[in-house]
Amino acid sequence: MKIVVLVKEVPDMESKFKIVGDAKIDESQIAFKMNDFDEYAVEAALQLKEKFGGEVVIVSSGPDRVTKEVRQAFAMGADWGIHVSDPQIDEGDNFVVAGALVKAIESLGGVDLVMTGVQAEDDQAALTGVFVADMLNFSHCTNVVKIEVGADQKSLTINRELEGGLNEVLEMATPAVLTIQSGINQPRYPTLPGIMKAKKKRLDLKKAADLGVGAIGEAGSKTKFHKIFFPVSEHKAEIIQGDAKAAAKTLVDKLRNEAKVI
Amino acid sequence: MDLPLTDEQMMIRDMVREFAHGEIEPYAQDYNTRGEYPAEILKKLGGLGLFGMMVPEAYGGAAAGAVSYSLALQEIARACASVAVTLSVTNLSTEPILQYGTEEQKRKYLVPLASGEHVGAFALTEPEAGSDPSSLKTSAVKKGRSYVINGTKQFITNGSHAGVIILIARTSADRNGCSAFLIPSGAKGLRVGKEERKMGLLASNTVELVFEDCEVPAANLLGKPGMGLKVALGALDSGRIGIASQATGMIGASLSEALSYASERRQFGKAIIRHQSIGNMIADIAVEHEAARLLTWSAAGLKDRGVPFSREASIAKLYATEAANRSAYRALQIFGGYGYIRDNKIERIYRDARVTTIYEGTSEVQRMVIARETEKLA
Ligand SMILES: Cc1cc2nc3c(=O)[nH]c(=O)nc-3n(C[C@H](O)[C@H](O)[C@H](O)COP(=O)(O)OP(=O)(O)OC[C@H]3O[C@@H](n4cnc5c(N)ncnc54)[C@H](O)[C@@H]3O)c2cc1C
Ligand SMILES: Cc1cc2nc3c(=O)[nH]c(=O)nc-3n(C[C@H](O)[C@H](O)[C@H](O)COP(=O)(O)OP(=O)(O)OC[C@H]3O[C@@H](n4cnc5c(N)ncnc54)[C@H](O)[C@@H]3O)c2cc1C
Repeated sequence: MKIVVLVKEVPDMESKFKIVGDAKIDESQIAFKMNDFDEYAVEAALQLKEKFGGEVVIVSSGPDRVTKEVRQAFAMGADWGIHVSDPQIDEGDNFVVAGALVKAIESLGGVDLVMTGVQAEDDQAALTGVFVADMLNFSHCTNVVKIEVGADQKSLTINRELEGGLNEVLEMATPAVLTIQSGINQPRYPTLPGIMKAKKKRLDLKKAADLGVGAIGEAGSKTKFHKIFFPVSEHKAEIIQGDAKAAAKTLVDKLRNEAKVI
Repeated sequence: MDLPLTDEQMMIRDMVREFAHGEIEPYAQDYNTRGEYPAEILKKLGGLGLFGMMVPEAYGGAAAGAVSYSLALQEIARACASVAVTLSVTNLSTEPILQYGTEEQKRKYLVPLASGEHVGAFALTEPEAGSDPSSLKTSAVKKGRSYVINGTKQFITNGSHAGVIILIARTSADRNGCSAFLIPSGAKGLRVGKEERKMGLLASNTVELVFEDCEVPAANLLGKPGMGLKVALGALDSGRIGIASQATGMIGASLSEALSYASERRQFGKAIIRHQSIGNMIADIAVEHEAARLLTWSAAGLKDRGVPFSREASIAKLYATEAANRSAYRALQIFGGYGYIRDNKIERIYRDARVTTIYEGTSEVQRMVIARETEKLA
């Protein structure tokens, strides 16, 4: 099977976040890492490759530093990759990035599966997978927690996670886009030989123009960031003492008349 | 302080850091309390390629080099010094095979080590030969096409679990009459004697190995007859980078334990780190951590460049292991009474650190080496 995994870098959530201007985050203090959900996608792809053969191609869009995340996927066992590297794409929104990823996928001339995390840990938009599916005109399934591939390597039986611990089982055919939920597997640690080989694997660098990406930058975007801010927390708490019945009355009264939320 | 590391070195460090955090740290205290050899953890580490970090690809290794090795060992020692020493001795035992082994010996003994099939051991010390290995008495007598070995080895790390043991034994009476042998586990006439009840490193295996008419083929001779001490001292040079790394990792652990406790614990109305004498202790641990990291990195760097590193390895080993003891002392002091209680990680570090100034050459022996090598420079 030919499987593409879309990998995104996200800030390590322990980094210090500083906002500059209205809608920008200062990246200089941030450590980046691979989006956790994408790590599950890489693992899922590698497991399919181990079973059915074929290749796993990593596609990632972002500045130079994303090569680190791509190499990590290589160290885990992915075969090669495409790094879509263009500031004009980075300036765009999810729609622009998805468009560029699609061009990169199309340049491979036919793939069986495209996998990516269900969402990115940072913006939690959960858009890239479905945008890509729509643009490629592939069927898709989100929140995937189990993948079974038939002997024909074309029919898929997919478990999809719903609210409340329910699973939904779907049948679909390749080519397809699957967005992978955490917990589907246990991503492997890269082995030392894997790490040592990662640098020698092929990583193609592509600009928007190389791929023929039309929609770029703010102009190509469907959304615009107006403001980013830290929500104000007021550190106010009141503990209502005494008998439960009376306390409940006081609580309702306060919610209705002071906080005016009910 | 950021060291100038290659991408691979950083990737190895980060991978091992994550592994140590996820797969060692949560279980380390229990293994140590039970005094249990952490077979599960080691199996995983072997699978990741951490048993033969210096071994070339041709023999199943990753040829990651000494700097990567040192970084990996530091991360592991932060979580558990016992796992670190087990790994260190295993890597150490690959080196003489790599350097002196025949092609056949490499295929037979190096490949399983590098692929993580089993750990290795290195048997030099005897009841009456510690710092002075030239006085060792274990004998290997040539008999036809084999050697017959008799004697007792003391304090052998991994002795019960090793798939292969590098043994140094006497093949003739003169001072240079020692030779190295490859002893497969389960060799007839080899018996694991008593397991030591140690002060620390409770999840590592330290045993007596007893050889009673243990017969091995002459093909198991490693290097030439009479080269035993050369083989041993070469292995120990590399081993010292390992122990320096283990100790440096432990300083890192002392620092992070002390720092988080001192920031949370309040006495006299403020976090104790705000009391100057505690702040000073944190500063001293931090300084020693940086110094140990740099010395160890520098010795490992020399080794990777293929230039002599014996002096620097001894300097790093001496400094890092002494500093690990000072740091653990300070960190435990910062914990007050709670540091003296079993189940507190700092109590374990304090005990584990103690042996680092003793094995693979005591601090006194390191000073002898450093003085000798420094004299040569003049
Ligand atoms: C937990 C543990 C694991 C070990 N693992 C291994 C292993 O895997 N393989 C192995 O072969 N050995 C191993 N050893 C043995 C270790 O290397 C020895 O304990 C060490 O070399 C010291 O030898 P010794 O204990 O006989 O002390 P001794 O050599 O008797 O030394 C006693 C004291 O005298 C000092 N001293 C000795 N000679 C001099 C001198 N010339 N000048 C100044 N001072 C001197 C020493 O520094 C020390 O303070 C291990 C030991 C321990 C505790
Ligand atoms: C085995 C054992 C037996 C004990 N027996 C008894 C007993 O019988 N009865 C009893 O009452 N207690 C007993 N204790 C408690 C012991 O006296 C306390 O542990 C000790 O007073 C320290 O208090 P602490 O552990 O809370 O540490 P903390 O007071 O929290 O101190 C933590 C660290 O901060 C430092 N520190 C605190 N304040 C300052 C400051 N202003 N300036 C600089 N540094 C500061 C301390 O020196 C220490 O290094 C015992 C403790 C142990 C371990």
